[in-house]
Amino acid sequence: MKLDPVIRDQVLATVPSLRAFAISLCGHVDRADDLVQETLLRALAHIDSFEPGTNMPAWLFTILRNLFRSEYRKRRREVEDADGHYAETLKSHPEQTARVEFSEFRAALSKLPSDQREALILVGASGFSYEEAAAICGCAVGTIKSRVNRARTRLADLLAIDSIEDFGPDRTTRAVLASGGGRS
Amino acid sequence: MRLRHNRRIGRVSGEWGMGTKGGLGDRKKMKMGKPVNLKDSMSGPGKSEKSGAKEATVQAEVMETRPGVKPGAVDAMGKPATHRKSEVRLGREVQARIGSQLRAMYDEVVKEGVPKHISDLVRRLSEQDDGA
Repeated sequence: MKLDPVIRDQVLATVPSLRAFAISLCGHVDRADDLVQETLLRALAHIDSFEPGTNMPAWLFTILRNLFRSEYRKRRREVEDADGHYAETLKSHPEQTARVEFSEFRAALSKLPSDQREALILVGASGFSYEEAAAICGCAVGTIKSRVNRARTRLADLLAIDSIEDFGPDRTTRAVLASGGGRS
Repeated sequence: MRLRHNRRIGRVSGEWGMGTKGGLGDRKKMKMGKPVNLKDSMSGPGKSEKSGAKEATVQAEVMETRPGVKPGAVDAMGKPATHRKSEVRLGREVQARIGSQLRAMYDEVVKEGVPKHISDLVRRLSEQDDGA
């Protein structure tokens, strides 16, 4: 049985977001791509269990998350990315070298406990509702809310943010403003 | 002035004496082997009013001089505040800023699209028959 082109396109449309989620979980681009590949193999092998018209992204995210938990969690020490390897890997892309201002943020994110990180990414970046995120993670909605809240607080703590003034403008701009070098 | 101190100690000892870790009640429990209400002990023998007042005042000052903790502040449970408000609840602006950085970081990867080896894999699998 060939795959319905509509379903195939839905799968392909989810891949970029799925990959971003995988990178946030794994901390390594190569490993994340392996995880995405395994997820797609498994999903397409069991495509009959997907009900057309339901939430394809949530279905794929659930498979990926479960795969990560069952197969990749044993490598947690590497995943924790204590050396900021994740940030370095992303920074190594030529088109991203200008995004140095995010490196601190990425490093802080990689230090969050994985359950808090996944909840924050699902709700804050992937665009899932609390209910969808709870279904993906297999926990209560309240648990997701709590994890997201703790993740935000921890991030603010790691980035030493006490107020919005500490967050922006970026350091270069602040330095220029502080030195009086700005032109009107 | 003395009366004012006594009132304050009575209130503080009432809260801490209920088992708050590190509180005055615990300290007295260790010394005397049983829970003691500071208010009662101060009027009893063996504990002068002056030394009791001094002890409680020092403890109160420790609480009040923590950076960012307002004197007399209490938390949501009505207990003396030991954390700055920002540690408990982030402002909306900070949350929004964290959210925007998070999305920007995520979108960097999303913008890369579908890697060729993954799109090839999906197309190959989608063309396969069950028996293939």
